[in-house]
Amino acid sequence: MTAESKKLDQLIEQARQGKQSPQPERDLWGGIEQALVRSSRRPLQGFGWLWASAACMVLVVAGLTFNGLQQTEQAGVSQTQLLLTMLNQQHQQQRQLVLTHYQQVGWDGRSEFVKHELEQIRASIDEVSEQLMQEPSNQQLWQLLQWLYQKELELLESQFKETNPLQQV
Amino acid sequence: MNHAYKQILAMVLLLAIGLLAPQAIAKQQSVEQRMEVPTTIIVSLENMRGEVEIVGTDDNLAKVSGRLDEYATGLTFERDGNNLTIRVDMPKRGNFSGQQGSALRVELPRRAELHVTGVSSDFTVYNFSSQVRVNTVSGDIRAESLEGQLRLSTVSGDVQSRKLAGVIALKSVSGDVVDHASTASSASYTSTSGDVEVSTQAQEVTAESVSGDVEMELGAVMSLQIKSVSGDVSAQLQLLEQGRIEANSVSGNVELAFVGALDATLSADVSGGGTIINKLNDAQARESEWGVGANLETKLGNGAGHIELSTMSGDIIVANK
Repeated sequence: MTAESKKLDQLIEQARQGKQSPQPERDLWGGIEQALVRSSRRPLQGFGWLWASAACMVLVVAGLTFNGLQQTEQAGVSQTQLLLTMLNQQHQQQRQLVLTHYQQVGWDGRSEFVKHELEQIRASIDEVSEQLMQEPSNQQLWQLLQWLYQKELELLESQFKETNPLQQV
Repeated sequence: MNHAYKQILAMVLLLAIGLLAPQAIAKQQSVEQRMEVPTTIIVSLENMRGEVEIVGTDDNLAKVSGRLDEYATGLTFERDGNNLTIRVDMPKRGNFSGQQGSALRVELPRRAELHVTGVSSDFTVYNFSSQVRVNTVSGDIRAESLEGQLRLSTVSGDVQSRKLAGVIALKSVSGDVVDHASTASSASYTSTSGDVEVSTQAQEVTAESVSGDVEMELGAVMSLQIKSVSGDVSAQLQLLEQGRIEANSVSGNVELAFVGALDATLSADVSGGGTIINKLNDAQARESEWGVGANLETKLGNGAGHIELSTMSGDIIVANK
């Protein structure tokens, strides 16, 4: 008789005596609990990697997006700067044309007439240009800038006309 | 000795002639001329200095009367087809420092088209119903009871007008622009350092100023455009259905007072240190998250019209009258 058949006979005798649930020789719950915890941890550890990967992906995407946005923003700013520089240069050329035109026909434009207003307009052009760097999509500011350019040219012309009135007729 | 005396005498005589010659030129000529002209004659009128009064009449006559400039060499009064030239002729060069400019009265058919030019000449124009253009440098322009395409412009003088109708453009650089009782359909006012003071029924109005203040009493307006650098702008008006207002300033205040019902979307924007005061409804301006600047967006009535106001550092005030 083997040890297993002996144990089986022993269990049948215990059941006959009314002992319904055979008890284990030692407390197995601790091991079972650890096993359960371990088994429940396994899939979580897998998700962890997933989460970590996803987080990394998010970070990478966010990083790339942020970097892209930064570049777009910088590009936007530099485009505004570029446009403003171009407009200012164009305006300077127009100013020079007005000055050259009148000076070529011998008119003297050195005058105190509307000097204060010209200074105000030039200061305003700088002020509006600076604000446009902050608000490049502000349509009204662009229009105001264009108007200031035009106003400065008009005032330069009026300065010549006022200084050389006899040339009018 | 005799020879020396003769030389001295000759020099004295030459000097005397030189001194007396301008006095001779300085004598003012009186003129009184007239001619029959078509009622729709196109008139070109030039006068460098003095005062010219130009009056529209119901006759088909052109008349010039008065005194010419003390330095004038004559008066050109010529008709070529439908064109009439009236010109006070002056020497091409000279120091015109004398006080006596022209003092002329010109009568023309009411429907004549006028092109008037001067330097320091003042012009008074009234009672015409066609195109009137007046350009002077330091002279003043006064106009009354004109109708049609009207452009009155001076550099350092004032423009003062009453009862204008049609399409009008009034401009001065350092002078004031004052227009009252105007029934124009479209009106444009421009000043640089002078003030603009206006009462008009024009439906389309534009006003520009650099440092001068703009004060407007308007009627029912379809379109109003205002631009200013440092001058303050105030306007009282009724905005028509689907009307449009656009006002921009750098540091000047913008104040609008509305008469009657107002149906419009209002957008007000202050970029710098100014404030927005809304007395039209309960909507409050939102301060910028950066701490500088403010913005107000609100709908008034059915919101059919558009009001766009912006300033860099001025204040914006909107209210009911």
